[in-house]
Amino acid sequence: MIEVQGVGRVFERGGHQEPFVALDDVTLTIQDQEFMSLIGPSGCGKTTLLRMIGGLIKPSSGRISIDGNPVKGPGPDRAIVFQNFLLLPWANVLSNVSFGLEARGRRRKEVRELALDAIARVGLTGFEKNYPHELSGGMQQRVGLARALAVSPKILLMDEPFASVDAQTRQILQEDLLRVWRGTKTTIVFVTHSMEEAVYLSDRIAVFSRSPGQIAEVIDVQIPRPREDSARKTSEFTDLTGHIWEQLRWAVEEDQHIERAAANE
Amino acid sequence: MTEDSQKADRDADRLAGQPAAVGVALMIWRQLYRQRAMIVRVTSFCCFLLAWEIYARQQSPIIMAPFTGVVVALVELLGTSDFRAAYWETIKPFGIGLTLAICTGVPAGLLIGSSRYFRSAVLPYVNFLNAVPMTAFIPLVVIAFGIGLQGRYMVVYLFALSELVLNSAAGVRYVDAQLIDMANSFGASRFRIFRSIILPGSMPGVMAGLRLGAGRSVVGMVAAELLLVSVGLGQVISRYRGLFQTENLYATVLVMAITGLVVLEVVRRIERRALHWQRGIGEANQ
Repeated sequence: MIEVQGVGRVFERGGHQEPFVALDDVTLTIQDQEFMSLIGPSGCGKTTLLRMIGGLIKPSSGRISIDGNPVKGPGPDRAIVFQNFLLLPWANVLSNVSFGLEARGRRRKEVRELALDAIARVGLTGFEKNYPHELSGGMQQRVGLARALAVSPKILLMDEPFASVDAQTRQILQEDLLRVWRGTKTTIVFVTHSMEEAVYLSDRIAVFSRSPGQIAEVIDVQIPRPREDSARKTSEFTDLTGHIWEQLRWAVEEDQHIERAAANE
Repeated sequence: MTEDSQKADRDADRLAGQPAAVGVALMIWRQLYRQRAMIVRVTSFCCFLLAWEIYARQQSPIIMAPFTGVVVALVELLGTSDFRAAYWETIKPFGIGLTLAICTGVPAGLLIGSSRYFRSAVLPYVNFLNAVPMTAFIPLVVIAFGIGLQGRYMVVYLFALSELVLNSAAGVRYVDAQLIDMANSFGASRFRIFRSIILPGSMPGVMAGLRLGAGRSVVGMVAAELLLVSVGLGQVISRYRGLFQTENLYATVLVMAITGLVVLEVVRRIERRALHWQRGIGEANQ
């Protein structure tokens, strides 16, 4: 169980600018084996929260704990899948997937076995010797997913993992992610700015508002699992995306307004 | 390249069904078309050699040697054991100096790139070395290390060192900081981060340093022998200059030039192999 209690995060800015409040007094509990999405306008602090759960940055206030133990840094119970994949360009697929296992000091024979197994689970068998630049964006993110799965984390933290692949590939990746998740039953915290993606994947969705970043609403998604592609066409699905859109709309409009003002200057 | 070959293929399609002679002519044309960059290069080189030959033959042989004369002289020189000994005498300090520069310069550069303290402590000296014209150092080096082998490889060493250090350090600073975040998220140790991310990630900089450093050590090798210590090929050059044996002089300079080109080509190949994962870089430098 991940407990986020009254967490805030302030970023200092250069010069005489006011510090930027990315996140303010956020409280959220994520159950074991739950699929929780964080959605919100850009700048709402959702990625900041994910990185704090991952232990990469520290909260300015409040506390985050996992199964009662406060988060002090990265740990073997968590693994992150990054938006821009962050694969090692000089290493082939097998070495990339092995990285997390090696970093955690697993024995060499074990590393190879677990890495090959993870590669198989994301459907990349046969590409072990390929280099990242030889793969499409979707396949590169499969490598990123395999690298995280290989260390068998209790919690999988995904930071807009499918944001930089095309729409068709994205749907396939979503379906494959659900299939993999069914096999492992890890907890997943999933940052996205796609409403359809959040509704299709999640058990619950935390909708963030901005300036400062806070949780506006937590939505239960009651669509039964396993969810087929047809789930996207049910009225429940469209009602939920419509509801989230109402929450996010003002922020998007505000962005447009700021952009126009900047363009006019 | 693919566009070109497609164009050639289209030409071929248009003429399909023509008599065999046309087909053969077309195949030759297509080959020529594909190789046209190479053809231009070779033609240009031949024109250069021809112009050299014609011009030199109108001059006194003391002032300028014709190309054919240089080739003959070159073949003769390579046959003499004196010349080969002189060549070896030149290559030895070059090899030792460059190897030393790589073995010390690359680690120093990586350290400067990774550690702020080390950078503050060492970088000023390297910048000084880089800024001062190296030829000015040659007398100092010779006084300190003598005119023997050690003095000469120290000259080569100092010529190459700053490029290797500065480019390796720059390589470290271009390593994607997000990859280090990624490594931290998996709890990687500092050693693991260095070995798996910083070292391979700074290879483009290290390789640039190797390329520039090798180029400068060729300069150092020649400069040491010509300006101060008369040994090796430098001594050979001085001798032929004194004797007005212009053809032999040209041939010796040509050997130096070719040596430099071979060194740079070897480095370029090492670079391409080491950076094979950088798509597009190798092709862009063609």
